[in-house]
Amino acid sequence: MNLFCVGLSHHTARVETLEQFAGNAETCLLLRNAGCTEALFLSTCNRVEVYGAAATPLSTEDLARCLTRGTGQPSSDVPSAFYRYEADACVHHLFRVASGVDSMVIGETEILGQVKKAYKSAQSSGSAGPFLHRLFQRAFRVAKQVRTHTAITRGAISVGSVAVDLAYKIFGDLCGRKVLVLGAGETSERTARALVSRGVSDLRVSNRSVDRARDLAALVGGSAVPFEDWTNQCGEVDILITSTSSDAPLLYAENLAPILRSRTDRPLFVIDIAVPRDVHPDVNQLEGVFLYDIDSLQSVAEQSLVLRRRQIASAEAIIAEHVSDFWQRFFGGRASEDGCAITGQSSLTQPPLRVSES
Amino acid sequence: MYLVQDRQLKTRRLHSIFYHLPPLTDLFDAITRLLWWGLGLYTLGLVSGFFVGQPLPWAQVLCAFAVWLLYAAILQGRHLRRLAPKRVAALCIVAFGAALTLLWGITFSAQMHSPP
Repeated sequence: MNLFCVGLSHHTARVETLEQFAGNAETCLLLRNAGCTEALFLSTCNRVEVYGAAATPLSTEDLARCLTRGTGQPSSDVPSAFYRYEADACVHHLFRVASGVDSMVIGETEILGQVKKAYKSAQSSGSAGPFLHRLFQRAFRVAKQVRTHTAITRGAISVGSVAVDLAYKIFGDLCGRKVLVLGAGETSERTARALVSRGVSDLRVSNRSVDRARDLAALVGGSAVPFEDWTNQCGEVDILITSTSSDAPLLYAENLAPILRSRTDRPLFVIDIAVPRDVHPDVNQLEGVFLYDIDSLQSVAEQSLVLRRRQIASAEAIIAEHVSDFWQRFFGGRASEDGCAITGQSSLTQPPLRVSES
Repeated sequence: MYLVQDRQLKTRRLHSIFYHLPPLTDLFDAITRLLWWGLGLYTLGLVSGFFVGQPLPWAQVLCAFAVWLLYAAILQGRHLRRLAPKRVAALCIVAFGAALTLLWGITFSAQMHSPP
C-alpha cells in the first residue's frame, strides 16, 4: 500500500493557480476511479492537497489531472507547482499542516478545523478508510499537543485581534467596559465588533455625520453621541477607538490631561487606526493612557509572529517524535505480517518531488 | 509585575513575559488588597511590640512609625484617587524597601548590643 500526499500550497503556487485546483464534490470519486483505495481532499484558501492510499503507485500527473478535471480545466494544464510526499514524509507533512507549522500565518488554528472538516467529509463519503483514519486521528492529537506544549498559537496577528488582546491585558474582563468609537469607518466597525464579542456592552459612536453614527451604532448595538461631545466622553470611557478622516490630530495631550484628572485610577486605552493619525503621539506620555496607532498595532502583530517562529523548533521536535512513533507502531509492524508494505520513496530529509521531477 | 506590565504596554515592546502576567487592572486590585493586609499586620506588629518586645531606642520606634505612615499615606492617596496606579506601585516598592531596611537595622542593632 502506498501512502502519499500530492498538492500545492502558498509555498509553491500563486492564488490564481490554487483557484484552478480547488476541486469539487466529485474530486474524491475521481481519485477513487484513478486507483486510490482511500482518498481525502483538503482545500483551503492557501492549499489544495490530496492524501491517499493506493495499492499501486499513482503518478502525480494523474492525481493532479483529477483535480484539474474536477474544476473543468484542460488536463494538459498541470503546473509544476505540485509537490509530492510519500510514506513517512507524507505523515510528517500532514502533522505539520494540522499543527499550523506549514501555514502562511504560522500557528493559526483555523487549519485544524479545515483538516477536521475534510476528514469528516471523506469519512461520510466513504473515501477515507483505516489508513487515513489512523493517520488523521494521530494528526489531530499531534496538533493538540503542539498547541498545548508550545507557544506557537500565542499572541494576536491581525490589527483587530491585537487591539482586543491589548484591551484584555489592560482591563481583564471586558464586561461592563465603556467604549467610544470616533468615526464610522470600516476598521473601527470591525474593531468595535471584536470588542462587543468579548463582552463590551456600553458602546458609543460619534461621527461628524450623525446619520452614519446612528447607522453604525445600530449595527454594533451601541448608542450615537453628538460629535461636539466626544471629548467629554473621554472622562467616562475605558477604550477610545478613532478612525476619522481628519487631516490634523483631534486629540492632544493638553486637551486630554484635564479630563483625566478625575479618573486617575482608571486607565484609558486609545486605539488610533486613522491615517493620518487622529491622536497626537504625546498622549501616550500621559500617565494611565496607552496609545496604539496602526503602526504600533502592526508592530505588536509582528512581534507575536516572531515569538511564534521561535516555537517552530519545539513544534518540529514534537512532530518528529510522533512521525517516528506512528510509522513504527502502525505501519512498521504490519508490513511483515500481512504483506501490506508502505513503501517510502522519499524521506523526511528530502525536498518534495515536483511533477517535472517525478 | 505592575510596573513591568505598564512599561511593556507603554513602550509597545511585548516580551514573552507579557503573555504570562495578569491584566493591569487585576494587578492593581491585588496591590490594593495586599496594601490593606500589609498595613493591618504592620499595625498589629507595632502595637504588640509595646507589650511583648524589649524596649527599643526611640530612633527605631520613630522609623517604624514613619514606615507605617508611608503605607497609610499610600492607601490614603489610593482611596482619594490622588495617586495614579503606577505611582502606587512604585511607592509600594519604596515602602517595602524601607520596611526591610528597618527590619535589618533593628536586627543588626540587637546583635550589636547583645552580650557576647
